[in-house]
Amino acid sequence: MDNGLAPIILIDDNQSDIDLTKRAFKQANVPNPIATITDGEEALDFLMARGKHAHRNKLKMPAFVLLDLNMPGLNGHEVLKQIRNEDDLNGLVVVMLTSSKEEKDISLSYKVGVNSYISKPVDFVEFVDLIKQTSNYWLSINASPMRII
Amino acid sequence: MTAAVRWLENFFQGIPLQLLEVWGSFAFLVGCFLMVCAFTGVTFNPGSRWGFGRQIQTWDAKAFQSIIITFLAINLTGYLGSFIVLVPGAQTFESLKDLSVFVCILIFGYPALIIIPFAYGLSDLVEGVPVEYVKDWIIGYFINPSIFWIAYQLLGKNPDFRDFRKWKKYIVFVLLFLFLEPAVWGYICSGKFTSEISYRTVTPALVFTTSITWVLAPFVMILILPLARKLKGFWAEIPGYVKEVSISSKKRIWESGNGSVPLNTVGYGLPIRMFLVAPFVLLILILLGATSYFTLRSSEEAAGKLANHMQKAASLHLTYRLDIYLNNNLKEKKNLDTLKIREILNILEFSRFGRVFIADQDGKLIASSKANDLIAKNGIYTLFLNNNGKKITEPQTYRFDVLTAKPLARETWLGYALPYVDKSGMNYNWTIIMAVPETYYLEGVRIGNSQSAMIFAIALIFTLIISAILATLVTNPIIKISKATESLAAGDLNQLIPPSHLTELAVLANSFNNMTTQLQLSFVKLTREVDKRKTREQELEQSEARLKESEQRLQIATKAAGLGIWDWDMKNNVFLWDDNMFKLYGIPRGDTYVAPENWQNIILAEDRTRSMNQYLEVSLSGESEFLDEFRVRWPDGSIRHIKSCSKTLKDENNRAYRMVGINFDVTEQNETVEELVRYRKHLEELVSARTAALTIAKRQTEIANNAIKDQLAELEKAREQLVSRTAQLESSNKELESFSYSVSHDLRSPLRGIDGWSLALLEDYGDRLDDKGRTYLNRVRSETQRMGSLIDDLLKLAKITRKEIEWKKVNLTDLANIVILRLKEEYAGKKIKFNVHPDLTTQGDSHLFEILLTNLIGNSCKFTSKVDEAQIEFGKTIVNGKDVFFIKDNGAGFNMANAQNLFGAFQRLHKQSEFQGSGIGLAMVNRIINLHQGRVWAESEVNKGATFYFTINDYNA
Repeated sequence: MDNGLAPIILIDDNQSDIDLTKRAFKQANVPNPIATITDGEEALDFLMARGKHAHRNKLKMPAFVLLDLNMPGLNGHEVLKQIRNEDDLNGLVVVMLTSSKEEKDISLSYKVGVNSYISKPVDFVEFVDLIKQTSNYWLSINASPMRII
Repeated sequence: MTAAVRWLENFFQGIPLQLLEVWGSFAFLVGCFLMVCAFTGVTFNPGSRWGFGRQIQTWDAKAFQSIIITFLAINLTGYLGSFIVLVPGAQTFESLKDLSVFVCILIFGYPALIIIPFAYGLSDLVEGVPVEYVKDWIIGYFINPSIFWIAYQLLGKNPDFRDFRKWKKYIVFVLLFLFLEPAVWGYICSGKFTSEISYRTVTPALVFTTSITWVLAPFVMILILPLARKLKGFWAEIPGYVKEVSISSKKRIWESGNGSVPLNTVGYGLPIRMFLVAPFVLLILILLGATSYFTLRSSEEAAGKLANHMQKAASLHLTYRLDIYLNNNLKEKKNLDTLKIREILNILEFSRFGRVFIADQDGKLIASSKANDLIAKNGIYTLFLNNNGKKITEPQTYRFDVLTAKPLARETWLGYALPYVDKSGMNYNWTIIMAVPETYYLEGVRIGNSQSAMIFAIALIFTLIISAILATLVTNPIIKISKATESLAAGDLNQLIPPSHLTELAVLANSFNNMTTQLQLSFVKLTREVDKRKTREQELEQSEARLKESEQRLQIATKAAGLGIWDWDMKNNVFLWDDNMFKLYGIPRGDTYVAPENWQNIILAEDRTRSMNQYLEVSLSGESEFLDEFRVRWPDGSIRHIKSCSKTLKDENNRAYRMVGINFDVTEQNETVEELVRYRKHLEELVSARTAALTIAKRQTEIANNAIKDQLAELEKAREQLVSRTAQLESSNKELESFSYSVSHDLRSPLRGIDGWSLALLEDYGDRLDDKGRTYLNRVRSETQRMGSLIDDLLKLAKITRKEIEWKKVNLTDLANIVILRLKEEYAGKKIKFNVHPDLTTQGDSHLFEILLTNLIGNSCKFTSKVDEAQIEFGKTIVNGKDVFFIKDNGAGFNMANAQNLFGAFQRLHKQSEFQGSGIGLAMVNRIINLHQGRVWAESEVNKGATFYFTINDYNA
């Protein structure tokens, strides 16, 4: 699996959703590996290379993070807030991927510092198209601060 | 004109120069004083009363306008005046500008004054006066308007020459002016020319020209003043323009526009100071004049004699020289050489400061010590004129004037003429003239005189000051007394005059004080007496009024009570009844029943004896008061009960002489008493009946009260329920919110799963299913997606439900056009004719209206999709005076029988296969209209289109 490309981190607690998202990435022909983390606390440990993930190479930064909002324990907003408080994670691209279309969820996300907010459609074909466009944008079009991979 | 000037010059010629110089110096010093006062805004006439005051000018646009007008007027009149020739070759009417100075100062006041010096300077420069002269005359430019300032002080606040009294003041001003101004200029010019020329030529010339001005000035003022008043430019009538305050304090005395503060002044008569000061001044002037005149005369005479001796000596010397020259000339047989003779004349020491010239017997000039000599010609001319053209036979001394181009350059020379007959035999019969200018030998004397004149002038000023102080010392107590007297006259008796150091005045003050004290004392006595009388008068008046009042009251009382009053004078047997008595007995007034013997006939027989006997008894026994009741028969036969009450008055012998009594009718009273008894009985019955009824009623009320109490308790319970209901409602609202959130998030999530995994099944295992299986899976997916869009719509509805409305002015036409633009993209293939009325506006929430129009117009688009020529109209009509908006289409329409379900959520009137939609749109429309307190309804027929109507803010209207 490790083809040397920066991984895309998917943080979501629902296994069915994870599987479907992975399938969508595959159909969208995104070459980057997809790493999944199922709760917020662990996601932070991973990103900050601490606890269970203390031995992770901290310099190896993900291409971008897909973050679900509604999770047990730390929810998406809280995870994002802690990411933005961490100097080492400066410039990390975080995209909300959620089924919520609530105004307050969207505005709170931007307040905390999200890079993009995507509401998942019910139609899977539309979802694949959306994943394709999102990946294309954050991997090819958008310029991020340079990092050692 | 010329004659007038000559006369004036002769007049001044007659005044000793010394005196003229004193006059000039004095005028100059007075002028300087006036100048300082005038330019520093001091006024001598504050509030039309003589004394010192300050004048405060407001510097506004009007003031600056005045400055400009004054400047222009002076320059213009100066220029014009220089063209008017009064005395050919000598005098022009330059003082025409003095006329404009006078007018401007009187009309404009202070602003005009301060520009005048500069206007004078410029005007003189324009007329060609050399710059050095102007420099020397600067002080005069300032003093000159200051003398005009006197006119301003005298006439300033109302220079209306139609008033005769103004002319008196005007004449005073003109005399002062003529006394000061020409002399000031004489003084100033004496620095440039000789005193002789200055005072004997310049001064009379100025007197002459200014006199002409003073003849014209009043008439010019009569013309100009009404014009200035009309244009509101007259200084004293512009409100607040000029204020006059006293010299030391800020106390306002007078203000322009409001008129003067009227003071109790007597406007005529001369102040006492004048009488005290004038003799001093006169005395000093006479003394000075006499002294200086005699001094000058004697010194002039002495100097003149000296000069004459010198001339004689020099002329003798000359005759010897001439004799020698003429003899030589004869010997050498030469002709007479005038140049040679001039050499001889110039040898003389005399010709250095004077002139030596020779004339023949016809008055022709033979030679002079100076070539082309005008002086010599003048000298010879005057000499022969004096001798009536005859030959000079005797040596003589004479004076002659040398007039050059301008009158200002005139000089007097002293000439000595000596007849000369040569001894050589040529028989020349000549006249030798030795002339010397008076200035030469009188210069020292005159300089000395000028200086002493200045000293005299200063002495004069001091005299004036001292005499003014003395006058003040004397007049101040007098003024105080006169003021105190004025106050006395005005009614203020509290006047005391401080003691004076002058005996006579101290006595006067003392007796005045005594008088006022005495006056005060007697006044106090008088007031007390008057007060006492007044109080007494008042008391009298009051008691009279009280008497009248009580009389009136009695009348009213007797009338009201129906009391009849009778009065029986037993001595004279006069029996008097008042009006009421006649009424009581039913007899017309003036009937004969008034005699006591007639009276008893009216009384019923059975009461009569008793009464009369009793009356008799009373009159005999002398009992003072008596009460009785009897009956009388009226002429109509009716019986009345009368009550009588009388009082008997007795003399010192205890004999009754008068009886006064009242009668009153008690018939009705007696009847009333009976009636009352009946009433009482009835009342007692009534009370017992009512008491019984009341007891029952009371019981009933108690029952009712209890019922009300129960109801109140119920109401309280209901209120509590309402409160708890509200709380429930609030919590259910919160629940709804969290519900909608979970719908949005949690309910959609599994739907995505169903769709995703169905597709995965189709993609990964589709080949293992038959067509039917694949169709089913596709149906699972499409139903899932429909569920998703249903949830979205439901959320939108919920969002609207929760929304707080924002009231603002909304342009519905603009909103509709935006919505239509979007719909046109959606229905790109379809031809729809939109008709939106212009300027549809209302109050409400713009965002909600956009949703409303999107749904209504969107619906119309949807339901006209099967019509060939779709037409959609959005407009407004007025129903019952209210705005009703409508959206009308020619689409599929619906059956009105189903219309009651139209605005419910998820209600659909068409099949899903016919027209797509969740059935949430109109529910949203209904909700939005409800939020705007309006109504929405629809009219339609199947296949004939539908019209949706709505109103906004309908409940309030």
